[in-house]
Amino acid sequence: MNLSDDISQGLKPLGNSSAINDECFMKLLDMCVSVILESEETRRLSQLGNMKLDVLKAAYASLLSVLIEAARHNVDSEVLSSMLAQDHNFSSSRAEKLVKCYVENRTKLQASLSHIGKHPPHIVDANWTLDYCIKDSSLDHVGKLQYLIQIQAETCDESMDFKKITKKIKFVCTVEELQDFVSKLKDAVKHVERLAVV
Amino acid sequence: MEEVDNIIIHSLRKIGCDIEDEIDSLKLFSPELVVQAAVKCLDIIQPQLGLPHSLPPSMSARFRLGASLAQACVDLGYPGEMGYQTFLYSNEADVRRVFMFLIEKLPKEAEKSIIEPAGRTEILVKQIGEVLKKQLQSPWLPSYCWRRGVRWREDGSWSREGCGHHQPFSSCDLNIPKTVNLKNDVSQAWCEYYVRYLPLVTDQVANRRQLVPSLINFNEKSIALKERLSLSVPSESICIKIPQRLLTCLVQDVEKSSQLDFSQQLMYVNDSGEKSKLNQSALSDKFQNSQVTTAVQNLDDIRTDPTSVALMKQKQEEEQLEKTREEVENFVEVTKETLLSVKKLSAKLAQLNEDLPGEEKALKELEERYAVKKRTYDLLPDAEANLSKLQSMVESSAQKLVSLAAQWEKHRAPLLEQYRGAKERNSNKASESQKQADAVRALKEKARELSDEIRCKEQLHSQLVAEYESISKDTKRSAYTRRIMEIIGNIRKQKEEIDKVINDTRELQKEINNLTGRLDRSFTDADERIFRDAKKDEVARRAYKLLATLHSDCSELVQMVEETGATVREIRDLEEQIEIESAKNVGANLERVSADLKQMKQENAALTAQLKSKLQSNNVKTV
Repeated sequence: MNLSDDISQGLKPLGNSSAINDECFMKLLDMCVSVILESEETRRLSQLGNMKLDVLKAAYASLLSVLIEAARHNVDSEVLSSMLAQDHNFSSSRAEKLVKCYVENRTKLQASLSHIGKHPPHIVDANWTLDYCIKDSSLDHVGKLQYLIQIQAETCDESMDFKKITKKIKFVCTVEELQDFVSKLKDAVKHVERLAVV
Repeated sequence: MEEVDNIIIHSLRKIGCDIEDEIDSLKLFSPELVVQAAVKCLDIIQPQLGLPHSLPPSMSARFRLGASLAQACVDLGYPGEMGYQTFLYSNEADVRRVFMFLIEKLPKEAEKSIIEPAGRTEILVKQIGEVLKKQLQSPWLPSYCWRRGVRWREDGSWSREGCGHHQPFSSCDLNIPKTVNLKNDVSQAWCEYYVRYLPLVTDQVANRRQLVPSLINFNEKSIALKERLSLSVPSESICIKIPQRLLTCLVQDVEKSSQLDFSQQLMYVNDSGEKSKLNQSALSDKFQNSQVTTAVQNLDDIRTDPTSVALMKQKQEEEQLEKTREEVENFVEVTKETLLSVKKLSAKLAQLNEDLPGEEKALKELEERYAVKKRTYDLLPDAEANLSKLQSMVESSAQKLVSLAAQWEKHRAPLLEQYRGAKERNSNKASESQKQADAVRALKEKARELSDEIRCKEQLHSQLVAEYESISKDTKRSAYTRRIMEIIGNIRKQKEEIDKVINDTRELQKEINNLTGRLDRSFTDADERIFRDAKKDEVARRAYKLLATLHSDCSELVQMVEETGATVREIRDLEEQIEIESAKNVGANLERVSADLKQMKQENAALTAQLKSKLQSNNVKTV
């Protein structure tokens, strides 16, 4: 986990209690966590008492970055505390508070970070029909079985502000192709199970 | 034998046999238990065998199971004899031998001892496996049970399921105040901009979803930039690009915040009419002019309503609105103008401020020149005297200067020396401090490495402790080893005793041989002598006869003694055999066998009866 110079400069006033007092620090921490978790309650910076606003803004951004980066790299609590104490001159009580808050919210932060990205469609349902084709326009005698398969999958639509929509995937296959498909699916399941046993 | 039994029972329990606590020797094993344990062992040794785990009720099936068990054991390489009777009509010694063989054949757990993954990839694969396992074990949930596409478990872990609540990684540029500046290059204007205009990072992003990507992007970008700068000479393109981008950003920010101010002003002006629509939330959502127009459109829509009163009201409102709009526009223009003039004036002020020191300097120069000129004008009337005075003054001052220069030289030399020494010392000190700083840095690095190492070691330690605890549940290793050592000591003692006995017997044998040899020789000697005398003397003849009978009697006696010994040995052998046979408790087993045979016969009879009745019923049907 690396932090840029701007971020580490912004962290400096957070480290000692003379620049930012404890109450303000805790409020700032709460605010950062609630912003990342996108919970509804938000405070304004003016509620934090009369501080130097530029310092506060920088500290706020830096604290956000530290929490995000730590959660992103799944940093150990010990590593984080040693990093804060050694590289950013945090006092031990401050580092402890920050690390405690981080450890309490780590899984939530990571879950919140997991929203970012693209995911393949998620299959929720499948319908099928079996047709027997006797003849068609070009052949008098076909005599083949045909499976019509329709898979319903949930996906996010980019044009509609990433709302969940259901997409239908349709395809036709013969018995052999269906068997092939099913065996491939089973292979995939087995592979996952084998990974899970390890 | 107790120790052996304990070991066997312990290992049987370990592979999952259900042995009750009160059973502590193989003597107490019932045939069911023996069969169950043997099947468990064979299952582990050869999993493909597929034998039933419990004894079936029917006699013939029991016989078949016993036979197949025995066959499996023989196939594994059991050295002794075995058949179905070994399992069904067991005796202690046989069972012990079989179990010792089977337990020896069990695959050693030590062979598949877990080699703890050391590398990063192994740990990752393990973690993936754990997560997948958890996901596979959890039941299906309908999509409305997820919280924003995430399933939370009771232990606090989570997994992403389904496809909802995704957001793309889209970021925008952020601007963070530089508060602590090393070179003091943050000017007053920047400071003011940071304090007054720059919005929070949370408000700099257009969409709340962009915040996290933007922050990640900001961090990574500046790290990458720093790396690139440290790698090569700063390329000009970067240096030029950044200020430009910053400039556009700044302009946007200033505009935004000024808009905010206007909207606030608007709030106070339109306290009566518009307050309901432009409430606090609209304000915080960054009020924009478009909203006013939409409000106007809404009003237009309402105006089509036919009721006249409403129409009047609307007209009034519209007029008011129009007025306020004009006012707002006026305000905007006025503020723009004032802002512009402020800008101009401040620029002018700055210029004037810049000019000021130059002007002051010029003023001082002029004043000095004026003073000199004034003095010369004062001296003009008495020119010659003043001239000579001046000359003498000049001379004296020149002399003074020379003496001062000499004095200065005198002072200067030691001072220069001192200065040089100080300089040298200073440089020494500087290099020393540099060295110390280097040492401090190296120490810090080392401390970090050491702390990392300590952490690794601690992890390993805790892992090993956990492993140790999981292993050392009920192994009586030390007890076993002590026991083994005792046994070895006993065996050594016994061996010594046996050696002693063998030596004794050898000596005895030698003595016997010696004695028999001497006997033979003395007999032949005596025989010859008496035989020689026997031709002449009657007494000697009788003595010879007596000698012959004595010899034959004695040899008979010796033979008898030997025979008795052999018989005694035979008796002992037989007694041992009897003991072995009695241990097999043939009588009881025979009874059981005969009972089983009877049962089997009964089963057979029942089956034949059934068959007959079936046949009869078939016959009846066909008739």
